[in-house]
Amino acid sequence: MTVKSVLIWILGILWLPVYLAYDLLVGSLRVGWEILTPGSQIAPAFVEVPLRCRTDFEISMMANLVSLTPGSLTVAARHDPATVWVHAMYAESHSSIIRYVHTIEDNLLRATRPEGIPPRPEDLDRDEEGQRR
Amino acid sequence: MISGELAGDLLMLAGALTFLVGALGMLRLPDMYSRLSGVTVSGASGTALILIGLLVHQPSWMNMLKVALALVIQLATTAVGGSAMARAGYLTGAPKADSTLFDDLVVEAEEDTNSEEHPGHTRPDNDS
Repeated sequence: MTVKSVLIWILGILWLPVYLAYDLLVGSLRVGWEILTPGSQIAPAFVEVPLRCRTDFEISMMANLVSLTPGSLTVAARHDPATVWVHAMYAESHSSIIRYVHTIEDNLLRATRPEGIPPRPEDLDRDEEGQRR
Repeated sequence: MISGELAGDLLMLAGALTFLVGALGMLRLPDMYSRLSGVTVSGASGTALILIGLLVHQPSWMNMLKVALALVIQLATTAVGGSAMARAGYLTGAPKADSTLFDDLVVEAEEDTNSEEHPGHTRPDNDS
């Protein structure tokens, strides 16, 4: 734990509600637009997302944050290894949903871990391959 | 403070319309899981707009505290309730929309081949 990581932690706690409000607004507009305009563009899917969360608090917060966003919903969660199954209304591909959930997770872990957050699994993959996916 | 009252009224009207959108979503969306997402629109955004409109209408520190508390509790319970309903729906085999692209949970269920119980009984976290 350094001074820098503690500062990022405090900023993360303050940032989480702002990010949540933004996510809620964007999701509401998207689903609201879907409901009000004729035709259907939804492509739902159930996606398994491995998490970096470890404690019960982190996993349950994560499941709730995903459910809170309109357009995505937690269907099941597992404790060890930490995984959530997410129903997403707009799934272009597996990786787009996983990236979306990991963005929420980044913001959550920044607020719960004073010691700094571990890198994303797919970022590690990318480093080994030496190229961006 | 006429303008404050007007802004509060507009926010509350927007909240009520958001509830209407959520109700229309019940009819428009194809399956249970999408409909639950539609409920979240009204349950989270609609309630938030109405509460914030109320605060703008009658601003005071006490009201701010009450609205903040109500918002936090409302958002938490909406999320927990949504997850619980989605889980219950999946476990009892609620039909999925035809446009569903893929389902990672099916793979989990098929691995447990010797289960002779209700197909929805299998769930990822009780494999022993």
